[in-house]
Amino acid sequence: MKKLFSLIFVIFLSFLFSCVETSEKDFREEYIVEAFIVVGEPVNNIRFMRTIPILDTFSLERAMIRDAEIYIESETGQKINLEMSNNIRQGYKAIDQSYLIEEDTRYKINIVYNFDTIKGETITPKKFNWIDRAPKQIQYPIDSIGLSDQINVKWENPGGFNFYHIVIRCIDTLNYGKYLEPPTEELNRRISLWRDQDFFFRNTTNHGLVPLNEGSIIWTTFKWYGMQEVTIYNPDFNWFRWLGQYFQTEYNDILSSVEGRNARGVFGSASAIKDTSFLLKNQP
Amino acid sequence: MKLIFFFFLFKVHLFASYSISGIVRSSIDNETVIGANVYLQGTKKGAITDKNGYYIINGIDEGNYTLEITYIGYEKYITDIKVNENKRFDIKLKPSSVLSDEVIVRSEKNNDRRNITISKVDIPVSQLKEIRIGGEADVFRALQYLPGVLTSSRVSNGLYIRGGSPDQNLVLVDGATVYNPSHLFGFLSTFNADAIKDVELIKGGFNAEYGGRLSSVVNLTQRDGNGEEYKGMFNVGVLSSKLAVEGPLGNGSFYLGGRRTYFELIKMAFTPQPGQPPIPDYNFYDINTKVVQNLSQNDKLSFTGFFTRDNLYIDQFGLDMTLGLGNTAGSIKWDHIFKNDMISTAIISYSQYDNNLFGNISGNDFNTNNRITDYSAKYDLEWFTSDKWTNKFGVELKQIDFMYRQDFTGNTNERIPDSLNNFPNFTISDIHSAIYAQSNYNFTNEIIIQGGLRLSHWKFLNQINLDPRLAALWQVQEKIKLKFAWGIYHQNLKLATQPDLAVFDTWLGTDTTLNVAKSNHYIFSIETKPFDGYDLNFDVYYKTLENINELNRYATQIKTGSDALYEGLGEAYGFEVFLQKKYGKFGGWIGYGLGVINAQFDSINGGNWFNPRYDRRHDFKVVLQYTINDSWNIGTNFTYQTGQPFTQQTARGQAFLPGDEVGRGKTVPAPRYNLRLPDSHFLNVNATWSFKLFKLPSSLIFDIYNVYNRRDYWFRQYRTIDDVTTVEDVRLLPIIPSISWELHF
Repeated sequence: MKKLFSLIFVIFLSFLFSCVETSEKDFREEYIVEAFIVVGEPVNNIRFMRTIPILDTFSLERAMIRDAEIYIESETGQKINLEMSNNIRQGYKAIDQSYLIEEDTRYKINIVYNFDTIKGETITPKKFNWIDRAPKQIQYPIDSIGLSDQINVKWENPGGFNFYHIVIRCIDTLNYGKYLEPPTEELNRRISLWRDQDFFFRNTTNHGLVPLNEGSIIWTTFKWYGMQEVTIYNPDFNWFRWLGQYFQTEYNDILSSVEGRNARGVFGSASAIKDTSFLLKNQP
Repeated sequence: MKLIFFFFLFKVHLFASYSISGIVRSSIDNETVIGANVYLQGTKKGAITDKNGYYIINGIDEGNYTLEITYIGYEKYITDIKVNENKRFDIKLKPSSVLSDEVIVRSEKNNDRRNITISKVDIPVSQLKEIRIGGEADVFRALQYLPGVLTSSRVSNGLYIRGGSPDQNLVLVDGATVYNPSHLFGFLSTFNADAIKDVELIKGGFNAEYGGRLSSVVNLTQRDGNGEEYKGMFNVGVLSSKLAVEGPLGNGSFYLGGRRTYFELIKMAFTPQPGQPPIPDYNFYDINTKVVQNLSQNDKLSFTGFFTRDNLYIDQFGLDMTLGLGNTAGSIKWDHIFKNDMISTAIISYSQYDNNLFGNISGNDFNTNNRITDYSAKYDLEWFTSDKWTNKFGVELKQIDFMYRQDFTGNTNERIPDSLNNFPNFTISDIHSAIYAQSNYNFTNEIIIQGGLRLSHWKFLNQINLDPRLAALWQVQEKIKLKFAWGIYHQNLKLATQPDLAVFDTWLGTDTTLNVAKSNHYIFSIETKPFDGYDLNFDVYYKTLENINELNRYATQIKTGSDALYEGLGEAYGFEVFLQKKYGKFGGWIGYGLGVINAQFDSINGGNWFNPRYDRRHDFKVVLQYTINDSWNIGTNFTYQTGQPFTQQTARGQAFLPGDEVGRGKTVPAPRYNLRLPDSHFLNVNATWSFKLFKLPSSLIFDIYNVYNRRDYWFRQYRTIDDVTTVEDVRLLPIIPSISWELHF
């Protein structure tokens, strides 16, 4: 019996000492690319950033890399050279703003920085049109004057995988009355929501993903009253995939569509349609 | 084929010997007694009663014997018998008026002579009921106090057994499979301990009778009900109240019990802060019912029903939402004794788990609905061929229907054409059939070998799986057994789940884009009885896992199984020590487990191996209970575990989408689960005071959960709202005292 217990004890000790705990990983600077191009629009808002150590104070000025060489090539041989915008938030833009992205065309992005090259590729989706446009006016809360409290829209299915990225943006957070008939001096104001402290609150945009070529944009989507821009993007798979992690708190490499040492990010494209709608206050 | 022939190669000697058999019941309520020792004094022959209270001792030479039957809490039954033919002795044990520490374990070893089980733990229900959380005795919570049984966190009741995830556990209630045994979004299990008679956990290496799961078997037997007199029980607790009635019915008995929360009433005490959303309404309930009819001395018919439901209602800011989830299971079971040496069990069962989220936001409906429905028929035949040889055969036929529907179109009444529909939407029916055979042969009194083979087929994939099982036992000394088991296990069912939140659990079958999961178990066990009444077991195990799955949290287009799930590999190995005292004034156990779990998925962590969140390494648990006198019993349980792995975030960036003026802070993860949270430990105590109230037995039950208010870490989160990242450790539950009152009538 004693021998048996001794043997068991030895086995136990061997297990105990075979445990290996992983140790803390040091920070390693990585590159993040966010490059979205839209059919029929010039190239703008191409962001190339570095990561910042998690416990350092984050600043966009520190994260944004301003001296990279970035260019986009089309399959037709067009080379679009980019330069840093004056506004750091807007990242890089095409030097030639007259060139508009074409539909159903392959584009490649090249970023050269610090002896590293990062590459990505996208095929732009086809253009499409509205079937049911946004109403000129809606109202919240519903409904003393018979207006809807939501925007019901429908659009053509241009093919592909039939997922759409909808963006609602308040295009004038200050003015309200000047869009009325007759115009007034009334100022715009926020719609009160309990989510009041993050980037969601500070942006004028709201994003959604719709797996169908129609949708209802309901009142909870709006952050302000007044003039709203509704954009429907028909994204390529790179753009669509990147959206998956936009709503998560951390980056995930499997959603990345660029290649390069220590790089992650997106080079995606979309065709788009836009419309506007005015959200009336039903209360002072 | 060689393995099949193997069963028939044993040389059988049929002596002119006899058998005695019968059913052991309690004289208190006529319930069958599981695990009673039946022993022929002066011989080495004996048996332990099975789940039907049935025992058989064969290979008895003609002569006079003294039959002894013992079971804790009952008077020893002794009678002289003359054996000159096969005899049937059905016995009723009388309760003992004296609490005794005496435990007679003489014939426990005989259990393995018929059926070797390895890594099996039996917890007496009396002990199980003393392990509570918030005053609520919970079967799965009690099982978490066993070494090698882990959870994804302390708020979850999902059992991670030796590296296997909860979907790899076969959970049976009276033979019916239960697919989502969770209440309170995974905090409690659906099994009301008052309705359960027996809990059996097989942590691995289970025999050919069980299949369709990779890791373990949790086999629950509901109470038959009191066959002698009408009785009732009423319990008022903090989380829920319970009511049960039972009594004789026809030639048998019935049991009907239920419990329900009353969170709606509790929440009335809380007024939401201005601007904060109102507190949602929530309730859960479960109902257990069983009717047993003894059609003859050899036939017993049981009807079992098991219903659970969780309901959540939210009505705020124009959003109306109802979430309902639950199980409905029922079975009809027929136990038949053909002759003394052959018994059969036929079960027809139905089990359904569904969850349904329906909501309306500003007139736009949305709905997700998923359901798994299981129609099963199973037949088992056990043949005690001789005193050395036992054979078991069985066949199982199962139809499983999977349904998933998701609709966010705004009008759930209008069906979208499938060609335009990107919402997951499917109904699949699959047929599963299985046969098994198992043979247990005693080469000598000390060496027993058991071989089994299970053959299963899934119609959808048209795939046949062959699962050989092998177990061996060597009785080294009177009180030391060595056991070994090896087996191959296949699992067709997959579960898409979030580990900490068992709300939207979705069961899927293996389709053509996925592979059937497979596992190999290798287990070596030493079972000893160092002192009377104590079991001390040592287990070493190694388990491989192939084609296991993890939820793809980024999936937006789900057309196939591989869209929803990642497939990967795993392995688990470890060592467990378990000292248990099942019966007597002082009972409980001390367990220690050292386990390592490794996993690898091509799409996770860059394809590198990692330790999953439920890898705890050191797992130390103590459960102690002591009956002071007729009025008081006290208990305590303590857990110490290595901290859970978590993924450190090393850097941060900012993400913009078109139109955004302000970026969203996002973090960059280190390799998955590269660090561990601090170690976890906590202590619970409980006491029960029994007294008479208006001449009726009554008790007050006191519990303190987390006595020294150890706020263990649940998870770490990195908040990037501001330019300075805030690292927050979210803590688990604080000290929770509770009291409940119980009345028996």
